[in-house]
Amino acid sequence: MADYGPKESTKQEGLGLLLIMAGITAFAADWAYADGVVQVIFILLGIASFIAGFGALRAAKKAG
Amino acid sequence: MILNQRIGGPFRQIWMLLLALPFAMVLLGACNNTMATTVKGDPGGVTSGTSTDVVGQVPGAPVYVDKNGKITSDATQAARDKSGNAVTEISADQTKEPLAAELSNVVGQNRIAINIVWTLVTGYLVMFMQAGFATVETGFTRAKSAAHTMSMNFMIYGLGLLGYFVCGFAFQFGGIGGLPTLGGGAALASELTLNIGGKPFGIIGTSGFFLSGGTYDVAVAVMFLFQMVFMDTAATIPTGAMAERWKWAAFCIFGFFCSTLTYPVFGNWAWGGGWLAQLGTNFGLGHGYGDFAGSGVVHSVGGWMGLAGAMVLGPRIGKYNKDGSPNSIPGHDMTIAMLGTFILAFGWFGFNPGSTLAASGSGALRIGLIAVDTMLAGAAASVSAMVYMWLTSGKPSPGMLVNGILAGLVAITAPSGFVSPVFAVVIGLIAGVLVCWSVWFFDHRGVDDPVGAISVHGVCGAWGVLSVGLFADGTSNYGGSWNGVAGSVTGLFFGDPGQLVAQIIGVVVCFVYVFGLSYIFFRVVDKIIGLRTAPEVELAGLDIPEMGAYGYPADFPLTGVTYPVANGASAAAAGSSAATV
Repeated sequence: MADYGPKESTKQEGLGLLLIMAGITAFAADWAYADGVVQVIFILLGIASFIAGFGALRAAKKAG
Repeated sequence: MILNQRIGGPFRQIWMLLLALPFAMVLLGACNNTMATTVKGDPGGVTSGTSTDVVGQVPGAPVYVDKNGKITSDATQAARDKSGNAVTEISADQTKEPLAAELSNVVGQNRIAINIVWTLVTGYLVMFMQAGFATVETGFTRAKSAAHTMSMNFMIYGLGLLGYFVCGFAFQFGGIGGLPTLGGGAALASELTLNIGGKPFGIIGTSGFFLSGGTYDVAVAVMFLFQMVFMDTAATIPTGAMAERWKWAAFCIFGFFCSTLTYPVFGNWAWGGGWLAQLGTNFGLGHGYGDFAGSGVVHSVGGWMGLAGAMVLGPRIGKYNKDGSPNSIPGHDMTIAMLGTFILAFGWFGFNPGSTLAASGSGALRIGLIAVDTMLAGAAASVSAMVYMWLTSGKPSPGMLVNGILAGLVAITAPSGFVSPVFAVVIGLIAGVLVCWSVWFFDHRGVDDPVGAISVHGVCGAWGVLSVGLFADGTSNYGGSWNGVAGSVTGLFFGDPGQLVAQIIGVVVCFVYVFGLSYIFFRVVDKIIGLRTAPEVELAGLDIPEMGAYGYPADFPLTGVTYPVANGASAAAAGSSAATV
């Protein structure tokens, strides 16, 4: 049974989830707080983090 | 096509997200211009609850004093003080009767305090329902995945709460326009609205992100707590329908997605002053979509999300035979399932009566009737489900007793604030039989729902919404109006066919929006990261592979069982539960 462990719920999946949550949070934060250049930075950070999260999860799937 | 070729590889689907996000940004940017940023909240809880909350209890009360010292309810006739503010009856009395003015402030704050305490306590009850969901779902599924099933119910709370805090609450209630029974919330006044044919259609709220700015306010905080646990209830329903084969990472993403988008958007349409609530003011359809405590907003939303997820996931290994006929896969512990059901039934006394958001004034004393309606419908449904199963299958199935009472409770959630006890029993009796039919229906259509969540919440939730349009008797009075339409919600059998039309629209929209969006979401997640665990993991049980720990001690009798597999082969389920197929 232990053989199954490393393939599921890996650290890479955890990282992907964290990046997705951070991305959405940054995106919402730009809307709520930021203005001007800071707003653009928040938006870009949010999008980048969101996409990186899915990329990490996708890579984890390939690796599994 | 060219873009596909250039990007390709593992990131092929991500370009679609890149295209979608700019549209979302434009939408958000447009909303930003209308945000109410100047309204200040009351984080100290000092100014919430004043004499105005006393005067506000009397519709049409003479609030102002005119130049001749006479009282009037017309603000345009009011005298003005040095600052140009209208002179109210209370402010005029402050010099003549200072004690009376101060007492009215105390009365106002006490009223708001009662409402806040009531809403918080009922919110705590609803929060405890999570324990009920966890035990019901775990009891109804196999021991080999107990830690995984429990953990989903556990973590949907944390994941969902954060998502709702970040933006879900803002989307849902950012444009509600104030929380009069809680004495504040004036900053919740920014709604993205489309004007079509000269009529407003509220789409999504745009204030209240992170409970910051003017929404750093005691009334908003109370509303957030109460509504967050409602969202949590909806979000935890799919964990039952998709149990025993849902990949943990995919579940986590669902938790965040549901709390930030799926649930709040429909919640805005129905409860946040959105376009479903406006069906009454815009088109004269009764009082607009009426869903007192969430048969549709909470339970149908959860049920339809679960339906979409269960369809994309597919059935558990061994659920269906080669000829397509279903096997029964018994749960491993009916005792904790029944204990969880009682926890849920107890929590429902927070769910329904708490939805008044008040215990003082504004017709809120109806909470007594709402509580009685709740218990009657649940009891009636458990009895009708038991009798139906006894007569049709020869035994009073314990599993359907559980689903029966839950079906009745789900069904009465929307009408609980509008119907009499007699009709609460009628609604419950119908729900108890309906859930039995529905479980059989989905079971024979290839949808594997281990706990019956789709039938209990989706189908019986829809029935509850429709029942408002049939049985609402027009005796309720929540501040003299509902959804901006004066008078009480009244159903078809009491003279208002328009209300039934509004309810039907709400049921259809709920299904189309929630099922459609969720189906797309689950498909995308399945494509990009995978939605389902590997077959060998599913057969062994998800506890060790997914969670790294057993739900039960290692020496729990998890002996091997041979499951029939759809392709005609059979798979030895090493380490599976003792339950047989």
